[in-house]
Amino acid sequence: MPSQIAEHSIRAVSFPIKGKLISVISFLILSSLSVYAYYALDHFKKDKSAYIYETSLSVTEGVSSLLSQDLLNTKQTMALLGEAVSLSQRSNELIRNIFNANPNIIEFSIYDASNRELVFGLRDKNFLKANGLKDDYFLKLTKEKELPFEEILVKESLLFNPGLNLEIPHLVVAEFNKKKNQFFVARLKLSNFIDLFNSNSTYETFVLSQAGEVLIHRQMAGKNDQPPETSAYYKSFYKESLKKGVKEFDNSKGQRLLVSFEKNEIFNLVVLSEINKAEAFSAADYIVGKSIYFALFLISFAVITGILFSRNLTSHVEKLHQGIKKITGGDFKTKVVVNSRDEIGALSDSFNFMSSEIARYMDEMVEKIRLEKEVEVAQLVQSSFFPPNDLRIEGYDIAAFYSPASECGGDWWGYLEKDGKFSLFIADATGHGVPAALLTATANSSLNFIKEILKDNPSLIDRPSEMMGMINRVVCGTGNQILMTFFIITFDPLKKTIVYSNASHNPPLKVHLNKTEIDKGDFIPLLSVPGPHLGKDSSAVYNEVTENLVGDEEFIFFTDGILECVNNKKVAYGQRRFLKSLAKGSFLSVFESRDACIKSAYQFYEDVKPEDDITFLLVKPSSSSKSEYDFSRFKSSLISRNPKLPQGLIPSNNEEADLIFIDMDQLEDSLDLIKKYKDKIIVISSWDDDQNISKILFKHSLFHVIGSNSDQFEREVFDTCSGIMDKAFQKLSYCLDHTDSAKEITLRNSLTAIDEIKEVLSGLNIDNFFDSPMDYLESISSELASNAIFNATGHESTERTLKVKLNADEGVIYKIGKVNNNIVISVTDNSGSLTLERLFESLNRSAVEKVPEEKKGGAGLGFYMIYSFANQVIFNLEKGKSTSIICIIEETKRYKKYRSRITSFHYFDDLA
Amino acid sequence: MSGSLEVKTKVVDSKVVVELAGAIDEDADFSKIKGLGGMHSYEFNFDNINAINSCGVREWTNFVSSLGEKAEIRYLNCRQIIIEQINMVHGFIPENASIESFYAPYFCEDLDKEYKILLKSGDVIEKKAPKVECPDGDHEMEFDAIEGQYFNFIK
Repeated sequence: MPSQIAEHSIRAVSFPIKGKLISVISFLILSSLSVYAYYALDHFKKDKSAYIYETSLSVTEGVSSLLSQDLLNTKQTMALLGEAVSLSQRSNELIRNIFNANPNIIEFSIYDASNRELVFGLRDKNFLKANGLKDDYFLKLTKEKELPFEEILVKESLLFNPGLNLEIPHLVVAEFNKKKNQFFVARLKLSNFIDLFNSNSTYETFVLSQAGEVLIHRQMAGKNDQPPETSAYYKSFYKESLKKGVKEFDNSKGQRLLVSFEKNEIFNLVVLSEINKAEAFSAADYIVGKSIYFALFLISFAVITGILFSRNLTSHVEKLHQGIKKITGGDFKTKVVVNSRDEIGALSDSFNFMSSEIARYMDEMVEKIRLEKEVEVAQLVQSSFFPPNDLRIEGYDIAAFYSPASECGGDWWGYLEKDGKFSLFIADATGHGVPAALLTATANSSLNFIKEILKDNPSLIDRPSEMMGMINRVVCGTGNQILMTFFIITFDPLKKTIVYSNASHNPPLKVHLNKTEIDKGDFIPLLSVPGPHLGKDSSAVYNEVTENLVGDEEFIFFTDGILECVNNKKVAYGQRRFLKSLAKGSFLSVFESRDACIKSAYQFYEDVKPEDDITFLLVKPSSSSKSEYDFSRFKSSLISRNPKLPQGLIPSNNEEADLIFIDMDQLEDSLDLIKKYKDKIIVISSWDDDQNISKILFKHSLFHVIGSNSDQFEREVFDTCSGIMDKAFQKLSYCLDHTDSAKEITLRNSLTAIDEIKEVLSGLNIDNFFDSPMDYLESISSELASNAIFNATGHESTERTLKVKLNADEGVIYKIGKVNNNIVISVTDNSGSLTLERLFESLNRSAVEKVPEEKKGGAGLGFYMIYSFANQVIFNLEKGKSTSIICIIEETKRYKKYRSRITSFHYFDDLA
Repeated sequence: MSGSLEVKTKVVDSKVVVELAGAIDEDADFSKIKGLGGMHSYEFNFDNINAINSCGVREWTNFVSSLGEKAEIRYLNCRQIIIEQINMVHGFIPENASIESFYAPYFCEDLDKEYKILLKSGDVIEKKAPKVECPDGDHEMEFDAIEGQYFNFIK
């Protein structure tokens, strides 16, 4: 059970805190580090790119600058040589010195622009010799490959590569000197430029002509060297609007190249350096890659740390959660161990304190419940010490009321009877609750002990003082801790005397009801010399007083609780209000008077719970002994103790009795009696209708049940007695044959029956009834008439929707009228086919199942419905001749009274 | 017994509103309501039902169960005779039905007169009758039935 509570009251954890923390921490770390890494690496890459681009461009610029410087030097040398050659006093030494000053120049020559004839020539013989060439190598080369004089003439200055696969790869610088009308031509070593290019092997450096042809490349150093193929895009460089810059291209191998360039507009050439971008960026990419790995490592490390931290944090929360689950599951002794010195640790201390407190509280609760159960048992036991509240003994009605201030009380009352006399005992132990209740057990035991003594010493009942002394000694034997007031009175209706003895109890009252109006001054206390409290002195002697009875007295016995309990204003109910209330109810029955007095007292107390036990008894001669009915001819066995039963019934033993009255809760102990005398048993029942049907009628097949709360109880008893005795059920006083107000119609047509009934009902006087009895009357009438018409045909299973028309001698007699102010409906068929077994089975099935039957004919609920709607139901059966069903609704303006009336049932037949 | 039950139907906002008048007995004909097949919401007004017998109970329970378990059913203005059946007979009000309003008896001791007061089911808390003042006076009336018994139908 506790685990069920836990399951039902604690939701399943679908997203634990641990998961949330891990998610949040991981997300934060991941996102922050990722963003940081992204921006850092992005900036790094951009910075690195800029550096690479800048470096690339610097390389190109450097090469371009050196190249340009060399060429300018060459041009300058060429100009100087031209001037030196043209001097009138030409100095070969000067020319040689100028020539040697520029080691780049292999050969210098001057051509006449007019005829293209060589005018002057000078060459580096050592260089030619070192390369295995003769001095005239360039002369022969010039003859083989003519110089482009026309182009030189047009452009005035030209730089070009005379071709590949030459013995000496070289460049040609040619100028047209207008002034001298000569072409100056210098052949320059490539090797120097190539050395320059080789100084930075990271970049592949090219010098291109305006047309995109490769002029210089490091793979042009030897005779058989071939420069790499250049892409078509190289031809476009000179057309670039920018003088210098860095561009990216894809080569034929699909590789991305980073190309930096600078245009040299003096010599109409382009210097460019290319590098594989992947290689250029390889270092940066390496660092980026390593950085990513490092970032991933950092993220992983942070996430793992976060998880470990979360687990560490949430493991404590989880421990608390498990602890709470155990507590809700009923394990209140569970403890949670958390060693951290944070709020969770403090919370676990609080949790452990709470669980220990709950456990302690539960232990206390268990103990309290145990004590409460013991008190409940004590209350149950104590309740058995008290007689019924409504009693009739030896011609006296006794109405009692007892209410303890707590579970058990210290008040008590009892009675005994012997030889036509009876004694009443009333006591009040000091205080209330369990200790006082234990003393009432002693008083009750003493009473039972006295009953035993009376068997051998019946005259003891005449000496209440002696009985008082005996009880006192028993009470003293309990230890003298609690005292008790006590009053004993013995009634002798035959001698018309009372004898009483008082042990410090507040004096009871008597009042003579011989006046038309009773005043509080008419109440006379039963005074005597009061003896000491019981339990005070075991040797105490008690007096007694004898008085004569006139026969019109009412006696009032009570404990002080009713007088001393207070209302909200701390005002006690008091004797004045008590006597006034008694006076008001003097001429009611003791039962009604008791109810009125108690109602008055509790209305005065308002909502204040009485702090003292209240016990209150009214005793006076039975009013019903003055019955308007003559019961003298009915010899009756009264197993029932119902005070409403008329006094005039002649007592008899079971054998000789005409009638046996028995209470519903005594049936199970009277099975032999039922078996022997079933037809003369009348059950007085306070059970509800369903219980009466199932536990009395169906189970024991008894013929008569009278609801104990009938307002017309005595009349009903009389009529039942008459019916049983006279076997004249058709002459019941209810029977409408004897009343002029009755209306009678004969129903023959199932289709028109209800309209005929409605017409009769419309004339019925229902002034003194609750608001709408007509609905009930019409429903009862419809039910009875329908059953009777279809039973009359002998076709109980005929579909009720079919039209049934009875013959002239088959009519159903419907009567309605008022008898003794009650509304009585009687419906009589002429089949007499109803059996008791069928009736009881139908009633019991309906009471148990409460559903209509799916069968042809009736729905099987009809008898149950009329039983429920009527206050009395009487079945009269003449086997094979007729069945009369009489339903009575008793006069009342209160619907509550009508519906709370326990239905009486009577069955009469002619079979006995 | 006489076919005196009058059944008036109208469809309001895809809800069948049924006004019943007269007596529910073996001749009660609910085919007019069943004819409005396919509807899922029903409202029965019992204000003018003045009698019902056992065969009528059977006809009604069969009819109301035939509306299906998914139908939304409401009972309005149930008179005492209907409340008696609801409390007494299983199936008179199926699981998928509810009682919107009903009459309850109140008694004015000053005027010595009973009044039928129309209550909403929601007025009854823990099967305790609500306080009602006398329509013809300014004093409180007494609920005139056994609360636990009369309000048994309120779950």
